[in-house]
Order: sequence, then C-alpha cells, then structure tokens
Amino acid sequence: MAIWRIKRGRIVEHWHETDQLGLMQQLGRIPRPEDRA
Amino acid sequence: MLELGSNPFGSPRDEAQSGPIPHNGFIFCPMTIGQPVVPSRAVSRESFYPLHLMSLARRRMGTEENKALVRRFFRAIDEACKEGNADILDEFLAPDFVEHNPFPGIPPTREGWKQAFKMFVDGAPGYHVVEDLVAERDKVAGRITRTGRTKETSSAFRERANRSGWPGWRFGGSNADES
Repeated sequence: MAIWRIKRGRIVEHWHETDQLGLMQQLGRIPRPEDRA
Repeated sequence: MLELGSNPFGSPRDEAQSGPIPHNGFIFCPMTIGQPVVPSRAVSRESFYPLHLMSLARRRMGTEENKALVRRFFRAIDEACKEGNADILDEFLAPDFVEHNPFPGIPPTREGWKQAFKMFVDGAPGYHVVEDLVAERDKVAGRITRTGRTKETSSAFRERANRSGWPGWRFGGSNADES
C-alpha cells in the first residue's frame, strides 16, 4: 500500500507499507501458520 | 425590473424552470425592495459561479493526471529495470523528494531511491502490477504488487541488503535460505 503526493507533475512525498511478513514467508524465512501443524 | 434570468457565463440551466436565478442572499429590485426573495430552487455554488466550476474541473482533471503519472512511473521503472538506469527517477521524483518509510540504512531522499532501485535491479529484478489507484487532491493511493526473482549471482545485493540491516531477515544464497 502506498501513497504519493504530487506537486507540479512530480512526486514530492511517498509513504508505503510493504507486506514484509508475506515476503518473508515466500522466501521461507518465517514459517506460515499451516507449516507449523 | 432587474433581469437576472440571463447568465452572461452561460451556466447550464433548465429552460422549463427559467426564472430569476435564486440568490443565496437577498435580491433587491424595485418591486420587492426591502423584502427578501426566498430562493425557490437551490443553485449550487458550482453552477452559479462558472469560475469556481472551472477550478473544480481542473482539480478533478488533476487527480486523473496524478494517477496517470503514477502509472507512467511504474512503467518507466520496470522498463529501466532492464538496463538498470536509475536516472529515470529524476523525471518522476522532485529534487526535494521525501521518503517517509525508507529502507533501513538508505537515505530518505531521491538519491536513496536510486540506491534502493539499484539494489532491487541487482538482487531481484522484476516488475510491478498496479492493482488499484485512488486519488484525491494532490495525493494518489495505490495497491501495488511487485514480482521479482532473486538471482543466484546476487552477492552484491546480498551484501548491501544485509549491511542495510532489514529488520528480522537476511538475504542468503539463490533462494535466500542460508543466513
């Protein structure tokens, strides 16, 4: 999820929240809940 | 009598309901001097003041332009990913750009974005999918999915990512499984 603020045709500010947990699970760094069972 | 029916700006009006344009204050004319004329039909400020209407239209057009800019931005960085050309960011990010959620160890500036861009190009090249964009005033909100594949020969990426100390994880070998 990301928010950009735009001024005169260019981006001046950016906020974002990345799904880090999902990324970690895809990389196998953090087990998914179903993997624990 | 004061003729208020003709609008010099040509604001759209229903001819069947033609009559004096209701005013949001008092209308003084010889017949009703001193008496308030109660508006029979509400006319929004936007339709009564064409200049205001124009600024609203421009603002609406602005949100569409801003969304188009964000789409172009992702198309451009996906294209630039192939050559690793980080200078493309200059076209889209202002010189005083501020990143409010920078990656650890990477400055919250346009230069920082270039560093992060190179890191991803080296380590996990891929592409973005713009799933949703919603815009209001000068902001655009979006749901973006990034797809990338970690490279086997991405030692530079691993080093940089590990040095930057992303909380809770490290990049290992080809599938990031070794620490």
